[in-house]
Amino acid sequence: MKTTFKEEDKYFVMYFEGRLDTAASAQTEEEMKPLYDCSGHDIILDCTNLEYISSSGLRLFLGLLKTAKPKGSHVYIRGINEDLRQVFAMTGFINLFEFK
Amino acid sequence: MNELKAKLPSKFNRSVASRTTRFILFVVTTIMLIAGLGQMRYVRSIVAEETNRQASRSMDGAIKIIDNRLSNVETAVNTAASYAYMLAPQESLCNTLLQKLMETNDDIAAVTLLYEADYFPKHGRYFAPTIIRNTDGSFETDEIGGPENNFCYLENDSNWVYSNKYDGGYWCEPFIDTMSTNRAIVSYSVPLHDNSGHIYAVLCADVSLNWIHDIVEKAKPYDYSTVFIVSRDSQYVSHPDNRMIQTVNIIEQARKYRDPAYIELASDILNLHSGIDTVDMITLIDNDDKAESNSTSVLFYAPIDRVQWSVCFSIPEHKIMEGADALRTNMLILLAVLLAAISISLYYIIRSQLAPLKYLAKNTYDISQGNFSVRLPEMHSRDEIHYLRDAFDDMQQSLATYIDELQQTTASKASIESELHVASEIQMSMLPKIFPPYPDRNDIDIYGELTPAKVVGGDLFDFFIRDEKLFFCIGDVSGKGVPASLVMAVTRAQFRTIAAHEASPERIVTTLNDTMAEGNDSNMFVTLFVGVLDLPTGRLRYCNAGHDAPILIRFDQSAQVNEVPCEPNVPVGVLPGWKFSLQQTMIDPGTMIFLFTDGLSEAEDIAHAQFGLDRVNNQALSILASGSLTPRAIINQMKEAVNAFVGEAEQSDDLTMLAVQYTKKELDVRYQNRITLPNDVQAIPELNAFVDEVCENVGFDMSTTLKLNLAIEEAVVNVMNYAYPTGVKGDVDIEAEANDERLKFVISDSGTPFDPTAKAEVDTTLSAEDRSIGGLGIHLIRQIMDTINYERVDGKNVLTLRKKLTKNL
Repeated sequence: MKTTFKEEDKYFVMYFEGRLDTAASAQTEEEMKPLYDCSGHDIILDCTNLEYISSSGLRLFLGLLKTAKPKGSHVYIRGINEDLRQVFAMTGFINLFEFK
Repeated sequence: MNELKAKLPSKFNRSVASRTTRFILFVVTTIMLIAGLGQMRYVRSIVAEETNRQASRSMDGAIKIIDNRLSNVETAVNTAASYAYMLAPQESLCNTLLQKLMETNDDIAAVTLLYEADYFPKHGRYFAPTIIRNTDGSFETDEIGGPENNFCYLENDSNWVYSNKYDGGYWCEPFIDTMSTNRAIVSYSVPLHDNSGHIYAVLCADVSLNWIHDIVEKAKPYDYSTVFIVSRDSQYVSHPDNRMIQTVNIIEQARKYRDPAYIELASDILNLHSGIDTVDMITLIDNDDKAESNSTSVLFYAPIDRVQWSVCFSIPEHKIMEGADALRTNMLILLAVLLAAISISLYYIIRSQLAPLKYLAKNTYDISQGNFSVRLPEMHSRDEIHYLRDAFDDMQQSLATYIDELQQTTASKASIESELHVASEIQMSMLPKIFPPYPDRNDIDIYGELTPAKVVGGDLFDFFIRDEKLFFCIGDVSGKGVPASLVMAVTRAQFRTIAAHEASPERIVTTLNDTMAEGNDSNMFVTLFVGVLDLPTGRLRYCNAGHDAPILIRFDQSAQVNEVPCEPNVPVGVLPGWKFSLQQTMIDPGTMIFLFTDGLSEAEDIAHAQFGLDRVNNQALSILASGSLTPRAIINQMKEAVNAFVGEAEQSDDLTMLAVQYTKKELDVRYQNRITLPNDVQAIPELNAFVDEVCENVGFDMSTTLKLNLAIEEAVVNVMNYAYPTGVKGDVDIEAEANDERLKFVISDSGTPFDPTAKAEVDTTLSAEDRSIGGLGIHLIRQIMDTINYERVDGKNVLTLRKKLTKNL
């Protein structure tokens, strides 16, 4: 699992690459910390290269959303493949996030 | 009135009047007959007594008269004899003697003086001067001595002059005077003595018996009585039939008839006794009245000592009782007329008295047809019939009121009934009613039926499958009807609620019990059996709360019917806080679990005999033997058997049956693999590699493989996070197994009991703010896998996840 944080225009963008399973979630949680300080910025989670996500990963996404939303920041998910979209659909997360 | 008559059965056609009349007639007739018989007997005895008195009076009179006249003759002759010595020895004076004697007594018909032989030489050997009284009163002198009249000789012992031997006054036997008058005669003779005492002559006076006959005829007590006199030589002296006189010998006649009674009577008469006897007339007297001669007669007899005769009165018995018999006839006629008059008047009196009853009956009949406005007849008499009429009047009014009330009650009852009907529909809709319930499952078949005793019932059954576990229950609420049905509904709802997140039957029942016992003021309780059948393994966990033990029906080498061993515990709702015990057993494929309420085992026939467990078991055996062991078949057959047993009797209790058949078939295992991981999430990539390998082997595509990875990871992480306390090391075993139909993952660990399936479902529709962080994993597993199943076996948590091979997400 590998993550990359970038500021693109007014967006905070984080690129996910590989498998976000339970084993990787603890480290990923650390790497996602910069996103929490997002006042005045919308967040884009780029999942183009994300192969897999477990509920631990989903929990990280939900935790981010719960923090960002009160600050007026939007959380977008970008480039997600069909299989992962189905996982989002199964969990109802598809209704919580905005997709680009 | 005719329609009433037509309504009444024919046996009522006899009226009270005729029956009472007949009864009274019978009683009166009996009393009168008895009284009449007594009276007749008394009258007859009086008549008989009077006859006796009359007969003896007549008898005394007759005897006195005859005796007197004979005495007079005797006196005259004796007197003549006393002075005969002056006249008799001289031939010229002897006629003077005779004439004087004749003049002395008119009864003397003739006198004769019989001299001894050669008394007067001039007259030769025999001399017997005689004077005969002619019918005109003149005397005729004659002399009858001569050889032809040898009876006159003193030497002869003739009857007539027996006195010379007797040497005193002597009455001879009566005889017929053949010599002169041909009349019946009796003679009195006295011997005459000379100075030396020698008898030289006999003075003899004849008395005609005609006057005797006249005397006795006059003296006889009744005109119809017959009188006769019998002399000492057993001849008739006097008899109504003259020809009998001196011709018939009664003792010889008696001997001829060989009748001992008659002989005795004849002897009595000849021995000069007096008495009364009853005789058959034909033997004694040849009566002139032939028609009556064969009847019996009463014979009175008494002697005349002077001449040693017996006077006999014969009185025909029927003549004696003629008056009494006539009286009897009259009485009978009178009685008949009287009774007829009584009967007729009684019949009409009773009929007229009871006439109001007929009208009353007709009106009552109208009332019985529902016509309450009928007016009963007015009556003015103050008697029982009037009271009856008043009573009917009261009844009529009460009935009208009652019917009104009944109509109101019925109307309100009808509305209650329609509500009950709706309640029944609601109740029935709570029960599973689509059978077979799981047509696309091949491991389970279920059939259940509930027949309430009333419109609504207190029995329940329910079942559902969650996470490859069949939850089923059967229960019986105490009591019947609406209260029971309410408790039933609550129980069923509670069962569903609790079992939705609780897979252990004893905890389901314990929770249910606590809920139900709380505030159970009406003390209703439920006997309940809850079973949880683990469909992959056939493990049955169950908890019995005071319910009838179910029976297991199976074929294992031989037909077997066994009760499921059950700890009774207590019924639900009785003791809050009661810890219900858990039991378990293994169910082999093909086995039927048959559950029922006591409505089956305690179904009663008319004689209150119970259907009983033996019959239940026998029915189970017979259907097992028939080879068609299906849930529907066994319940139908059981129902037929219990209906046939109960017959006409009313269903006494709700009848519920539930049959669960475990029909799992084992398929050949095609692929098998396993891995053991430590309880460390860092081992997850290993797991992913394992799942990928398995998926590749069974031929799942990438997309499905990804989702399977997700589901298995979630399940394993769950174990890693929750089964072992923090810091405790442990292993997680993951087994993969595939047959032709599905792929199965079995995840087991030795940690603390943890049932992930018991978690409530997450709500995926909530907004981000309301969504909790947890619960996603089990949700994902349910979404991805076809079945999820948790079992705690031998101290291990065993979670089984299945995915059909053909199904792609």
